[in-house]
Amino acid sequence: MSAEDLFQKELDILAEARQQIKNNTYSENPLLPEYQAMTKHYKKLLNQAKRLVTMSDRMQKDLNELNHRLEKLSSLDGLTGIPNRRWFDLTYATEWKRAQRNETPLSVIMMDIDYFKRFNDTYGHAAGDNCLQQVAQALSSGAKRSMEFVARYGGEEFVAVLPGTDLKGGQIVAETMRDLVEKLKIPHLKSEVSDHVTISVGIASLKLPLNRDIKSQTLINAADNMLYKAKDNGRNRVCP
Amino acid sequence: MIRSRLWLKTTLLIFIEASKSSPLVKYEVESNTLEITGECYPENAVKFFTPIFQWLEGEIKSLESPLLTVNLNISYFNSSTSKSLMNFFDMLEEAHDKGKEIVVNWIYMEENETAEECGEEFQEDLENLPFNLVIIDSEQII
Repeated sequence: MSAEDLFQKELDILAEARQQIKNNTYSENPLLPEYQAMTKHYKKLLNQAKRLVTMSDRMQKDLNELNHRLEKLSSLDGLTGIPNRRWFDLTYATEWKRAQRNETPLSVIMMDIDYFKRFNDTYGHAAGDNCLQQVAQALSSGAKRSMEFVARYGGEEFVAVLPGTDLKGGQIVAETMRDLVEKLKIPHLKSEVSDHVTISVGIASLKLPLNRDIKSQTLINAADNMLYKAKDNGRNRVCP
Repeated sequence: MIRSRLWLKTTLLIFIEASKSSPLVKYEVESNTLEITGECYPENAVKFFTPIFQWLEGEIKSLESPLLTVNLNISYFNSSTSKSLMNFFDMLEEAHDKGKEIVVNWIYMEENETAEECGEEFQEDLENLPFNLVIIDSEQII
């Protein structure tokens, strides 16, 4: 809606006032010049009101854009550019509720870079940061379906959330992600399981029909336990 | 020493320190310049602008004083501030029409398109008052 439409009522009043002044009945009125001055003043104030709205909208637009930028920034991990833990916490809670409401499957994949401390100690922190960035990008490329996402969970740990995917489908995605990291071929001489950087992967899924008593954290804990099992079973693998 | 020289002038003095939500307001007697610099979104715009209007009423009475320069560098302001500024400019324009020499400079940073557009709105709203849009680049900030 343009400012002209927004102030149509005021414009109509102004037009009517002008018409009244033009009418012959007023031509003899000694107050005519004052009426004319008042009409002129009204027009000036109306224009100012229009300008005020224009300026106010403009400022508000700037603030909204800034707000969106900040919101986006606050949801991304500064190093890797993928969603951060904060964003994961918020979005996972939403997906959990959706799965409960719609009785749809939900899978969580927890991933951890194998022997990452040794990698850092051997190649330095800059190489460590670079490794995290490459792994984060590779894992993100493995989350293909809409609503699927990978977030940095903390340190060298990543988490993937797969709404609508059951354990069987989740295992395929998990294996793809493990493979994507292996294919990066980032040299890691101090790893005991490979010459390259690898990840261990744990996956857990909601069972249908849903048990309404379980909490959202339970699924994360289950995936985390599977991750430890993958570590215990020799790393660079998916469990179960 | 400066103070004693300032007191020689009959014009009202005005100085308001900047706060988080209100700009610095400073009148320099030597150059006859009023400067308003900073963001302006005071809780109560009427209250904030009252001393400025009072100052202006005193200032515009003396037609024979030298050119009054008003330098405004307000990067962000709320709606009630824009209305106050319009009232302020109207007063200046009225004084200008009566013969007082006044020039207003609307100063903004090169990349601040919003400040530029708002300056243009204020400019277009005035008929006779000299109102300049003055761009400064980032390096010119002191």
